[in-house]
Amino acid sequence: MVNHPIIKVEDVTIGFNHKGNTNKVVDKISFELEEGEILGIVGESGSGKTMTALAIMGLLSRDAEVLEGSILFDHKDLLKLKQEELRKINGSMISMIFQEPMTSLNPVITIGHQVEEMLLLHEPGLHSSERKNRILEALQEAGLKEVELLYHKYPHQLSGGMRQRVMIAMAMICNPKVLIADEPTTALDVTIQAKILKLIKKLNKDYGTSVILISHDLGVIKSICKKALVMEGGKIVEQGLVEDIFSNPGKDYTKKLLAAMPTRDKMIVNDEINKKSVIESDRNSEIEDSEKSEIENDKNLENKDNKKPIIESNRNSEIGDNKKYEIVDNKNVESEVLQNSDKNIILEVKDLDVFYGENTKKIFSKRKLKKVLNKVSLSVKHGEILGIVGESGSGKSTLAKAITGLVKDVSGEIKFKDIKPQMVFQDPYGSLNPAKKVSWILEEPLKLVGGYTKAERKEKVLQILKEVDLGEKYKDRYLSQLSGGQRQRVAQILELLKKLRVEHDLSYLFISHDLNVIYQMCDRVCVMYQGEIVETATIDKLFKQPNHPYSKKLLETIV
Amino acid sequence: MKKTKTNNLNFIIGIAIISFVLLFIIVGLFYTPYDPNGMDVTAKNMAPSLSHPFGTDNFGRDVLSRVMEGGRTTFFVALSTVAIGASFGTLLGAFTGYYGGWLDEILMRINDGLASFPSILLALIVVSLIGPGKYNIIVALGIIFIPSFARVIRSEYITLKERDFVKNAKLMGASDLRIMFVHILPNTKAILLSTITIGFNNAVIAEAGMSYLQLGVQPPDPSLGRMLAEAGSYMFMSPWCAIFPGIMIVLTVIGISLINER
Amino acid sequence: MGYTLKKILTLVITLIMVSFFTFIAFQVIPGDSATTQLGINATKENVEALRETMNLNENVMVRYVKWLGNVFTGDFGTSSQYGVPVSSLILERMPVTIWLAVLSILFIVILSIPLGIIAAKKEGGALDRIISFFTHTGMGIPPFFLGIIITIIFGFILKWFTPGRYVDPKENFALFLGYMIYPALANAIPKAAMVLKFLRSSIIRQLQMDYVRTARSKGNLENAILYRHVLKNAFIPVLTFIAMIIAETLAGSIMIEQVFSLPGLGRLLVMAISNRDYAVVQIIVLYIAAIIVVINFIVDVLYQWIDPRVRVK
Repeated sequence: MVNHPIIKVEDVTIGFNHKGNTNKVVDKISFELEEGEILGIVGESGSGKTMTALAIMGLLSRDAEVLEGSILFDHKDLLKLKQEELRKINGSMISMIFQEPMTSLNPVITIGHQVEEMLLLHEPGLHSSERKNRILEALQEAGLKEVELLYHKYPHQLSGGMRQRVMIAMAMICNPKVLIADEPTTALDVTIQAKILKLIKKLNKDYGTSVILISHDLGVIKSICKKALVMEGGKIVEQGLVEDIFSNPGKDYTKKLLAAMPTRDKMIVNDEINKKSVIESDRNSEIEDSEKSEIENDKNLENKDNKKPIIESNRNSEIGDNKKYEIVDNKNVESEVLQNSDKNIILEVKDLDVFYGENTKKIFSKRKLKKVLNKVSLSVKHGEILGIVGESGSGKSTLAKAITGLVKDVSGEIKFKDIKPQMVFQDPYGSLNPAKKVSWILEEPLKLVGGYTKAERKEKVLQILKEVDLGEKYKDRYLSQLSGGQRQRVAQILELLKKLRVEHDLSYLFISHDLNVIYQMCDRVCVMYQGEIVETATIDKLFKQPNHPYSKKLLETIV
Repeated sequence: MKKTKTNNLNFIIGIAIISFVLLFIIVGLFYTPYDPNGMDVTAKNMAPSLSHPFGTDNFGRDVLSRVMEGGRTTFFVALSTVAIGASFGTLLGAFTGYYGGWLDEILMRINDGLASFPSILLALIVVSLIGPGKYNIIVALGIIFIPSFARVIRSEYITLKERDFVKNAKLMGASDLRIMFVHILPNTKAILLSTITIGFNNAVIAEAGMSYLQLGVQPPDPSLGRMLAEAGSYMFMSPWCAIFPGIMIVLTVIGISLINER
Repeated sequence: MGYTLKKILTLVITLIMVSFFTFIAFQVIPGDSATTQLGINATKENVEALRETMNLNENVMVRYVKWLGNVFTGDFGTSSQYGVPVSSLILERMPVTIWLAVLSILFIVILSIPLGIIAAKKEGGALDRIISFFTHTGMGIPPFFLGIIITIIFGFILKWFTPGRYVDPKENFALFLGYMIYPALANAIPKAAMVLKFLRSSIIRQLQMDYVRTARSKGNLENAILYRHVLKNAFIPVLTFIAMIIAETLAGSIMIEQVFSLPGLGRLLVMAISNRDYAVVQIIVLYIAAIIVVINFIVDVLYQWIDPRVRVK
């Protein structure tokens, strides 16, 4: 039986028209979606995969247009259809779900009414009670519970995973022939991710809906797609069965993408191969930067004579610096300078409890305190990178803040040797003062600490810029002027961190939710779940033989 | 704001208009065709002519000269008012936004209470207490403008203080004052400028209004609002006495808001 | 429910505070009302006698409470200008101000909402730019100058009405309305321009939101998206704005009344201030303050109703 393609994209080129110049974002791509199959489109941000999807739905923004090619659905060229005809297809024949379930639903309309809209638009003949039944049914099919109550709720009352399920229910209720899912799981926690993907697979099987699954995450693609195409810079670099692509990547680019993933097999293989080659492949990999944060500069990194532990947070970070700090003076925390009790340990946390006081607006009521971290203990040895991995809500950011003294309601012990750690934040856009030039930002810590003349400060700024491979001209730039050409990928940042560790004798406490990155960077890792550390182990041990059930669950999500 | 063609065009038109207005004022600093307060009974209510391009008013005073000086007075009052409102308002907003707490609650209630009053009314109240006059108006309006600045700056500070670069600064050991005014303040430039321009416009209109009600600049000194008031009863006879000062006000306000649009 | 009750409590407290401050402002600060009334050359005995009658020697709090009590019973004191009870003055002038307010609000709504929606829909287009131009001009002209221009155009040039010839509603209601259109227009145009601008930008902002993309992907036509999805969201912030405008309008448009010689509360206020007739000033200010506070309260409660995210469970 020959499956005929339900969607046929032929030589499609999409571009932006800007002052007479055309900027192509998708360049003559062709592919087919077979009936009943799940096709994956994988690529980094900017590869054109989302544009392609939007073109199929006719949802391109006003300044983007399809310059050539055709998209055939059911023998009709979607690109040539009029608004009214296209509207009839959208939702009933081809549906789409998006990346951000938070904002993709209308905040002031109930869930029930939003799903109902699909029926009102495409099956107007239905009775209102029939409609309600269909809606409840669809919600249940999407894995939601207590659907009667859910019907009357508003999006802000639901969790991220639930919202995405609602989107799926909404997309599927008219039994479309095709479902396009654009990064449906990127904004969700890793464990929920798996569930949503399973749901999509189930719907594909039960209803025969063809699916186009778009993601930058190879793991996601591998989990449910049969065929996939790899996009880079607007072109399709490779197409074929997922199995083939993964085991025998043809093109270099695909190889690069794959190299960035720590698969189970690869880990075992790495043991047997020379360590050196592993490091090299890291260096060349370009992991998709889905957060699109850009590092533009690094702050002053102080001199080698101070052993400073640095706390890092996730990707694209910049390194802050300082010379000397007073020891943090929290209420119930004993933060002492470690006498040479254990020469090797430079940061020790013991039985740390952290409380979160709600910001009550009232003047006279007491703040209610909620415990968010429970008896956390860890230690960082000199020269090592200790990772903290956990999903959102696990408390890892709170831990970082507590250690650096940004949170007041704590009890327990935090000890550091020599100096308080400096913290580097997750989002470089937020961590750097957008109103100041780079040189000012770099000079500020020196000014605060005191003891430098103006000339000495300027000198240090130039020195540090060199160390982090940024040219001297950057010192007079503002944050907003640094975007565009200076996109640095995650791997380059990680590499920089590794380099600085060696040069300046640093140790890191590295916090992330991304297992890939943890694997690449850390020597040891602590797994956090709901405010507690559930397991601490070396990287090898954790990835090969996780102990705690939650660690096991986390690792299952890596392909 | 998108830099669309319209916006750029608006900006240019705005600048052109303001320059035109400023021309009158600056020239007026050094030279006016006649003494703005000089009355000439033989030349009462004359229509615009070569010797009096804007005509004369009921007292025989040259309208053009009065507009030049009146414009200057109006500008001066507006600028001073905004200066008072912006500086104190920013201080207030910065402290309440940054620290929060119960002081913030109380001050904000008062602030919001005041802000919802039509400014004319508040100005009237203050004036009824301290009396009319050019400098009294500046004080009155200045005080009245504080709440709107405070509110805007406060909400900026509330969001900005959560940003990572502030946390970074704290970690580095910067003092609160330094963080508030060296780190955070420059980030409010855009909004501050916008509020100042809107404030300036409101101040021009308010001054005109107050003087129109005989409560602002006192006779015989000219201000654009006063001129409108004086021209009121003779409108039928000599409309130019009202039209020219009025146009000046309108041009100023439109010019500034066009510049603000960008 | 608890939320509303809290709000009512706040409302009452605010009103009391407002009345207190008003009292202090006009009874205490200006110094001795008796001296003001009698003039600088009055003899000491006369001043004393007047003070006794005016009860100025009593404790401030006592005076305040007495005054407040009086206010509740409708006794607003006596006007020093005219010697008649303030309440009668107010009653005389109130209808004019209220009619002006009603007509102004009507014009504001009629002008701003449809045009705001159109401008947003056709963003960047010719129609939008024209509307934009009018918005700028509308906001730029001080209301009283607008009043003057309208008087010149419609009164002197077109002669559609006779400026200064205010018609008492009791005499001829139709003519009264006919006259009131012009001040209402002068009042409404700048405010309508502001509302329009705000509405337009609110709609445009909503159109860029993700949920609009979802609505399109469902197969909605543009108009449906606008009316079914966007407007609800877009109106929420606009509502507070409109409430503010309404409060301002109800508070009495002082300038406009002056330009068109309307015997309303605004004009009364101005004259009272010039003549230091504090009894009158006090009451009018109290009235305006009360309106503003009440309207803000209504908006707060309404907000809860409209925006489900604000609703406390």
